[in-house]
Amino acid sequence: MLPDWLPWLLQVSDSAFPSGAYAHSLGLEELVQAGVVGDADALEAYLHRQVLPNLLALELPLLAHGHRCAAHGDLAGLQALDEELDAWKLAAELRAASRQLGSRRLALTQQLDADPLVSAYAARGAPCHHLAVCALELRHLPVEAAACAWAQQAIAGSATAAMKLMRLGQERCQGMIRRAVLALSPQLAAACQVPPHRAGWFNPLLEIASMRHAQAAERLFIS
Amino acid sequence: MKGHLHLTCALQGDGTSALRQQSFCAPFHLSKPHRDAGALVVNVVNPTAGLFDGDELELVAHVEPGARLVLTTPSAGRVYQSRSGRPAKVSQTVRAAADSFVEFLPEPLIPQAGAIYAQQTSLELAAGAELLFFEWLSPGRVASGEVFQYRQLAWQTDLQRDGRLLARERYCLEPSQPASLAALTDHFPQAHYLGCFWISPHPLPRAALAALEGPGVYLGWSPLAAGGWTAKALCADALTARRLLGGLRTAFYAAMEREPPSLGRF
Repeated sequence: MLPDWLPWLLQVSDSAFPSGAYAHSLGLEELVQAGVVGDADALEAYLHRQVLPNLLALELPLLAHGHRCAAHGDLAGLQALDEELDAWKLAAELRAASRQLGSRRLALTQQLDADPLVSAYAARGAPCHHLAVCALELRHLPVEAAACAWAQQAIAGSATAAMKLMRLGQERCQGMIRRAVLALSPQLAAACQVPPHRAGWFNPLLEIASMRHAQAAERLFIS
Repeated sequence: MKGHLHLTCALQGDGTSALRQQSFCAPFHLSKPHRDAGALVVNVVNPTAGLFDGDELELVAHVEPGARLVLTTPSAGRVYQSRSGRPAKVSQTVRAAADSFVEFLPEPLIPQAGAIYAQQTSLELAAGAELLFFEWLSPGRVASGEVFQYRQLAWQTDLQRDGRLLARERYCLEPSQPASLAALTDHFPQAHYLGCFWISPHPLPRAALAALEGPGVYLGWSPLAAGGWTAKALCADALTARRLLGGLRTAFYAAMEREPPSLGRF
């Protein structure tokens, strides 16, 4: 039997879903400019050495926590996580991108589906970080499915942004996404069990890249 | 060894800052505090070789309304190999009241081969308090060829102002899991990391910060979510890191229209 949530997940995960994510590289543009991620091999290394560990150690544990809050109707707990994300995102551009994506997604979600809990959250004046909104919007999914969707989106977002920044074809890009997701999948359930007070990851390189991108004279992406 | 340092810096009637209370035990020691450029400079000395597994140190500093405190260390903090598998733990809390100023500038942390270290820092500011906070993490004893050979560094820093969380960092670096170091080593193989928080009503000295760019420096700065700034840098080596740290300090003090108290090392 088809799970009730599958059509919703397919729609909101589709690249045609107008979340605005296509306009963000989330720091990658500056890393390419700086020569840290110079070619397709370096991009794949970046996905495995920086994007996946960040997902496993920080974002997925926090997403799972937000998912638990939302599934129990604990909007205060979800908002506390949302506000904590402001403090985690030290680079203003990454913080703004996350809020922008989340707010847009929340608005679209409200238009598509009358969901009193989503409407109640929208009325709270929370920062609406992308992660918190996804946790809310995907609360009817099993947590591992929600985490998988979030991870897929993060990996694909970096890889497809890179296609505009370096010589990288569609097939190579899709191969990278596939390998990254396969590498992540066996660790996904464990990441969802990490308590939020133990979540964390160190990425000054990406933070500095984002800080520098905010001051760049020329840029292709918003972040 | 379990040691503590508790101190309270207060504004005196003559407008100078002084230690109103102090309590410490080994391995902490305070050299004689002195005043310079309107602030009280306190050197926190660890006369032992450094930190060993099982050590638990607690530092709590209160800065009362109107007082100005510079808290620093005269030499690098060394963490030695853990033979028991236990970490050396350091907990540091700085509480700054309204209209006070505190600078926290320790020398670099040098985690040696096999070191296990856990550090927890809580910076709690009242509305109107000013803060200049630095941290410097070295890759190890580079001159001895010991680069990223520690076992584990667990780091947690919270910065709050008026009860609101402005910044949170939490991470665990384990060279046995190279991805945990990728953000350090992907730009400079022997990267020194500098982190800084600057909470002040003064405008950011953008031009002075931009002038600190140069070979061996990857530097960025950004506003925090609810006021204040952070600056972060990766540096190719220790000399570059020290030059940059001195430059950041000079730039932020100039922005605050104050002379930086002399520490004799920049």
